[in-house]
Amino acid sequence: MSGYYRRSYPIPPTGPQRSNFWHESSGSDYNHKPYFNGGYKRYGRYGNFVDNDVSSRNHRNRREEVNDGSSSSYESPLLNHEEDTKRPIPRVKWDTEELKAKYHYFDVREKKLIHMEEMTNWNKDSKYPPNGYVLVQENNMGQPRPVFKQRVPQEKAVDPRVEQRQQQQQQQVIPPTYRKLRSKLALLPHIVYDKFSVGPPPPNEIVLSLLSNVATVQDISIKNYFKRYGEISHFEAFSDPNSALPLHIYLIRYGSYSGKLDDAARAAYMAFKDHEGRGCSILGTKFNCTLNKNNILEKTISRTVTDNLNRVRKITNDMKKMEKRQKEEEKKESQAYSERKIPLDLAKQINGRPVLVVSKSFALHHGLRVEDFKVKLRRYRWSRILDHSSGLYVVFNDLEHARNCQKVESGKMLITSRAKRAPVDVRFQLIAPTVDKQPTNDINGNHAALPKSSNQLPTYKTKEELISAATSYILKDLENALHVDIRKRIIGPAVFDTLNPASFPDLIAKKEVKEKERKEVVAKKAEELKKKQSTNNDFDIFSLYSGGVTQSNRNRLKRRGSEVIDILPSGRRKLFKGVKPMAHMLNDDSLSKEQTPVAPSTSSPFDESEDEEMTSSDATEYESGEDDNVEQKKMIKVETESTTPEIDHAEKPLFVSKKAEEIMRIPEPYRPSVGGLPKPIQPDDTIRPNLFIDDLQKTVTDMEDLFILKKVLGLDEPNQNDEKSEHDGTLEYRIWKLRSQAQNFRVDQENQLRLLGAPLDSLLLTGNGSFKAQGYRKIPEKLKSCYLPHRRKPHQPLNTVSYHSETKDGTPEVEREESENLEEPESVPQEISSSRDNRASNRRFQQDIEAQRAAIGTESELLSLNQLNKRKKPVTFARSTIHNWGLYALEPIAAKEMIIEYVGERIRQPVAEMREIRYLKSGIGSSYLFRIDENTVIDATKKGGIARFINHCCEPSCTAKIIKVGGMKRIVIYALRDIGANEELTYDYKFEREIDAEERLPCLCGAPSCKGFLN
Amino acid sequence: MDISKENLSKFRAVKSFRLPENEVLPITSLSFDDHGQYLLSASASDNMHLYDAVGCRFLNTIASKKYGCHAARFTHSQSECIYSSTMKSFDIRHLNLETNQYLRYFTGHGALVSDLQMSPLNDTFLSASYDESVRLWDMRASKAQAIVPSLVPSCIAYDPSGLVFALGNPQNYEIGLYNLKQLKNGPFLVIKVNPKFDKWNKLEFSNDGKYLLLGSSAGRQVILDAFDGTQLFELSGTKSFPLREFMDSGSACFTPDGRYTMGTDYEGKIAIWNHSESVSGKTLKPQGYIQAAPESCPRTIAFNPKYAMFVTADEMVDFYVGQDN
Repeated sequence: MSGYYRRSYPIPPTGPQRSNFWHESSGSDYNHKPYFNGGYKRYGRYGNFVDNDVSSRNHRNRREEVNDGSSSSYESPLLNHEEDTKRPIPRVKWDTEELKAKYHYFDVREKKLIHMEEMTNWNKDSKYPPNGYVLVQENNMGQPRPVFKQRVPQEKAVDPRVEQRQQQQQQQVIPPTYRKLRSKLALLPHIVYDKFSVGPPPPNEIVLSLLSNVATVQDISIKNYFKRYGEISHFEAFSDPNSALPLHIYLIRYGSYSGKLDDAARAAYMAFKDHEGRGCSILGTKFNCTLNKNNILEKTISRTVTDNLNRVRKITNDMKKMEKRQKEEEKKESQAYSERKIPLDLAKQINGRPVLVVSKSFALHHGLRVEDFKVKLRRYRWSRILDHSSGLYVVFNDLEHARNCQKVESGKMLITSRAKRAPVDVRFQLIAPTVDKQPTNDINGNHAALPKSSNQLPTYKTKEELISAATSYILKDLENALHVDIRKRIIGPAVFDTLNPASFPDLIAKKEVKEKERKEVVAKKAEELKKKQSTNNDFDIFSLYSGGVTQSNRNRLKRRGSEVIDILPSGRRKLFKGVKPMAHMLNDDSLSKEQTPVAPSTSSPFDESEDEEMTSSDATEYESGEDDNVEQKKMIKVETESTTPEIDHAEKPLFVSKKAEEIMRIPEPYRPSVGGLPKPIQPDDTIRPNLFIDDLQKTVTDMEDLFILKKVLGLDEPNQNDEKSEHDGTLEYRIWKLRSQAQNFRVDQENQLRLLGAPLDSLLLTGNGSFKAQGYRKIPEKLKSCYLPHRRKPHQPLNTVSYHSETKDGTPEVEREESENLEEPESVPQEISSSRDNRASNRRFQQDIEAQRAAIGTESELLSLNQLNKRKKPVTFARSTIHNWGLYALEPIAAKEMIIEYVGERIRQPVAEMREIRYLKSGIGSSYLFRIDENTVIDATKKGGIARFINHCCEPSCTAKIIKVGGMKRIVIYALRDIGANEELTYDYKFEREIDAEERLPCLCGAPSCKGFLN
Repeated sequence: MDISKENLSKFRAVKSFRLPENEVLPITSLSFDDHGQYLLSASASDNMHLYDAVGCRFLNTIASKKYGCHAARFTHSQSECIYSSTMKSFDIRHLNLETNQYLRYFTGHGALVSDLQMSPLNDTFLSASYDESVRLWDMRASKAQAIVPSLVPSCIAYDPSGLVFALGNPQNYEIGLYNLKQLKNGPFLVIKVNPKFDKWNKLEFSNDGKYLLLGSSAGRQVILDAFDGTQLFELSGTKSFPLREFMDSGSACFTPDGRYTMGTDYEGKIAIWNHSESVSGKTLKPQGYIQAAPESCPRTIAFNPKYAMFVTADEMVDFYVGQDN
C-alpha cells in the first residue's frame, strides 16, 4: 500500500536483465513468497533467484542488509525522465518524539519507516508453512472443524468472475454485495451553514419589488407577512432618491434568536421558495420576492429608479399635451356654454336667479342624479337643483354664491360616475341673470303668481263687480255671525228653561224616592262601618285633655280644613249661581236644589242631614247653623235605633248635657269612649329595634306622649330648664348628628335592598365602623344568604304556579278509575286532556309498530322506540342554588305530568358499588347512581340523560317513580305540583337515614321544612 | 443526480473541518460506510473522527490514544469499525462506535498493518502488513483464516463481487488476482505493471468491476482492465505530492458508477477524468477541476458510495457536495 517503505534493491543496470525478470516472474512458478523451501531466496533481484545458504538469518538482518544504500537508489533513473512525476522536496513538518514513536511514522528524508527493527516477519519462528495456510472447515464426523491447509501457490486458481458473469447473464441475479454500482447519486439535503462552512454565508435577506401597479400596503403589514418565516432583524423600505417617494422595494433581513446563521438563511430561503415564480400577494398587492444575492437589491433599485425617471418624463410630456388639449376643449366648451340659455319652462322656477348648469348629456352619460349634486354641493347655499331635459340646474339665490361655487368646484369636483364606476370631474356653466331682465322678471313673476293662484275663482273685470262680490262676502259673514248669536243666546236658554226640573214636580218626586232608597242603603252600610270603627273610637279619657293640643292628625286637619274652606265655596256658589254653565244646568238635580236657598222645600230634613253626617268625609258642606241640628237628630236616632248602646256609644254618646256637646266638639279620635281599657289612638310603632330621633319625634304625636316621654326620661320641668341651659350649645348639633345618622342608615338600607333584594341581617351589621375593621370571623351559613344573591333564592318562597299540597291522596276517585285503565295509573291528570290524547295516539302508533314487528318476526332495535321520550317536557340544566347543577323547567308544567326519564346505564348492584368507589377515587363528587330495585341500579355518571341533574329538596316539586315499560323498569320523574317556568325541579332523594354524623350529607335545599340532611 | 462531467464539476466545497491548532495532524485514512451515511477518518493524532456525511457535520471523536489508529474502516454494521494499531501492538481492533467498546482484537501480525479492506460480500476482511503477509480474517474469530505471504509494501483491493481480491506490490510491478474461494492456490492472474509506473500505493476496483485503479500520490494514476490486466489509461495532469511523514493511501478514486476518476492535486484542486468514454491506451488529461476548499491541500480522496459528495483530507477534512443545477 504505502510506497515509502521500499526495499533497497539495486536498480538493474541493464535492460535485458530486467526483461529476464519480467519473463521469470510471469512464469508458472511465480511466487510471492520470499522464502522458499526454508532457504532465503533473494526475490526480485535482477530476475535471478539466489539461493542463500544462511537459512538461519532472520529477516531483520536481511532487511538491514537490504537497506544498505537504499537512500541513494530512491530516485531511479528509470523514472527521472518523467518531469511531472517529480515529487516536490518534502518538508519535515511533524517530527516530534511523540509522533516518531508511532509505527507508521515515515522518515521523509531517509524515506523509510523508522520502526522497522521492531517489526518481525510473520513466520519468524517458522511455525507456519512458508507458503502460508488456509483455514478450511472440514467435515469431521458430522461436525465442521477448522483444519489448517498448507497453501499450494503453484496451482493456479480459476477466475470466479467469469463464472459469475455467466450466471448473471443466465439468471439475471444481482450478486449480493455491499458495493453497489450506482449511476445516480442521491442529493444531499440542505446543509447547515456553520463555522466549518466554506464560502460566503447563504443569503439571509430577501428583496421585495413591486409587481402590481399600485401599492396600497403599509410597511408594517409586509413585515408582519414575512415575520412568519423567522425573526426579522432588519427591515428597510427604499425610496426614490429623485422624488423621495417610496419605491416599494423592501429589504428584509432575517436574524435568528439563537444566533445561528443558518436559521436566518433558512428563513430567507423559505420565504423565497414559498413565493418563487408566482410572487407574493400581501393584502392584494403583488410583490416579487427574491433572495438578496449577486447584488440583486442594488440592481432592482437602480432599475426601478430609472423606470420611474422614464415614467416621470413620459407623464410630464403627457401632461403638457393634455393641458394643451384641455385648453382647446375649454375654449370650445366655453363657446358652447355661452350659447346656453335657460329653457323657457324653467324660467319661472329659476326666476331670474343665477344658475349653474351641468349638461344633460354629461349627467346621463355618467348616470349622475340630482342627489349626487345635492350631496356634493351641500356646503353651498343653493336654493334648489332642477332636473331638466336640457341639463341639471343648480339655482342659487345669490350670484356671489353661484360664482364662488363655480370657481371652486367647476372642473374639480369629483362625482363617482355610476356608469364608469370611477370619479369624473364635473364642469359647471354659470348662467348669470342679466341685469336688465331681472327686475322685469321679478315683477312679472309676482304679477303672474297672484292670478294663477286664484285661477279657480271668477275674475273681476270691473270695480263694481269686485265691490259687489266683496259686499256679498261681508253679508255672508254677518249672516253667519247672526246665526251663532241666535243659537247661543235665545234658543239655548229657552231649551234649558223648558227642561228645568222644577217644572216637572212629579218626576222629581219619583227621583227623590229613588234617591232616598239609595241613601238609606248607603246609610246602613255606613252604620255598620261605624260600628266597627267604634272599637277604635272608644272613649279616651286622655283625649279629653290633650285634644286641643295635638293637631298632627291628618284626618282631623283635613276635616277642619274642609270645614273652613267649605264655607267659602258655598258662598261662592251662591254668588255665581246665576252664571252656571248651561250644560251644568241641564245635569242639575236635587243637589242643586238643596243648595238653593229655598231650604224649606226639603221634604225630609232629618234624613238629609243624617246622610250628610254620614258622608261628611266626602266633603259635603255644612250650613253654619246645622251643627246643633245634627246633634239633636243624632240623639233622636239613638233613642230610636240604639238597642245596644255599648257598641255604638262612640257614635251616639249618652250625654245629653252641655258637656256632651263639649265632648262632641272634640275631634273624633280623641273623644272619650266608654270602653274597658284605654286604647292608643295612634298606631304604636315604637317597638322597632333601632329607633332614631326622627322616629321618636314622629311617635310623640300629642301632649300626652310628650308627657309620658318626659316622665320616662325623668325630665321634670325645672330640671328640663336647667338641662336646656346646660346643653344649649351642643344640643342642636347632637340632634343634627342623630338625624344624619338616621338618614345614612336609611340610605344604606335602601341601597342594600336595591342591590341584593333583601335587607342585611342585623347580626352582620357592625356596631360602628366598617366590616374591615372587624377582622376575620366566621359567618354562619344562614347569614350568607342575605348578601350572596345565589344563596338567597331558596329562602324565598319557591316560584310556583300554585301549591297542591295533596297530590296523590287528593286525586278524585273518578280520576283513579279512569287512570286504572291506562298504563301508568298514577300519572295521568284528568285536566291535561291534550297530553293524554297525544299519548293515546302514541300508544296506538307503537301498537302498530309492534304489530309490524311481529309480522316481520325479527327483534330489531330499530323499531323499538322509547315512548317515554315522546312525553318528555322541555327542561334544561343550569347552575343551581342547591347544588352544582340543577334541572329547570323551561315552561310551566302541570301537576302529575311526566317530566323526564332518568336515563343511564343499567348495572347490577355489585357493579354499582364498585363504580361508586371508583368515581369517588377519580374525584367525581356527585353521585348519579339511582337504585331501581335491590339488584338494579341506573348509573348516569358517564352515560345518561340530563335527569341526573335534578337536585334533592325536602319540599320537592317532583317525584321519581319506577314504572314498567315493556317489561323494563324505568325511572320517571313526575311533577308533584304545578311547576312554573324556570323553576328548579327537585325531588326527594329518599336516602336512607345515616346514624354516623360524618356520613350525613347536609341539605342545602333551603325549603322551609328542610330537614337539614339528605340522609 | 446523474454522474456526468457537468455535474461533477459543479461539486463545491461546503465544509472544511480543521482540527484544533495543537492537534493538527494528517489524516491517514478515510472510510465511508456502505450506505454513505457516515465518514470515519483516522488521524495521526490517535483520534478517529466520525462525520455525518449526509449533513456534512462533525459528529464525534473516537480516541485510541494508547494504540493509535490507522486504516479505520466501517464494517457492514454502521456502528462498528475495524482499525489497525500504530503503537505498542500490531493488533487489529474491532470497535463499536456507539458504545465505544472493543468487540474483538485480531492478533497475529508481527508488523505494522498498513491496510485493511472489508469484503463487500460478507463479514470478512483482509489485512496487509509489513510482516510480509496478507491475512484473511473472519470478524467472528480473532485468528487469521488464511495467510498469504507477500512482499512489502503490499496493496490490497476487493473486487466489488467480493470473490476476488488483488494483491499488488509496487516494488516488483506485479499484481496478483486471487480467488478468495481458492486461496489455497496461487493467483489466477498476475498483472505486470509497466515499470515506468511505480510508486503507486493504492489499488481499487471500480464498482462495475471492470477497472482496476492504481492510485498514487505522485501525480499519475493508471487504470487497468480488471479482467485481463491490460493497461487502459494513464491519468495525468495533476501535480505530485511531496512525501509526508505518515502513510498515505493514494490520491485518486473512482466515482460510484466507475466511469469517472477523481484525483487530488498538490496545487489544491481536484481533477476529474472520464475514462469510460475514452479510447484506451492513452494518457488522459483531466476533464475538469474542482477548486479545493481554501487553505487546504487535499491528498486523500474518497467518494461517497451513495450521495453526491466526496471528501478529501490531509490536515483538514473537506466536504464537497454536488448540487443539482
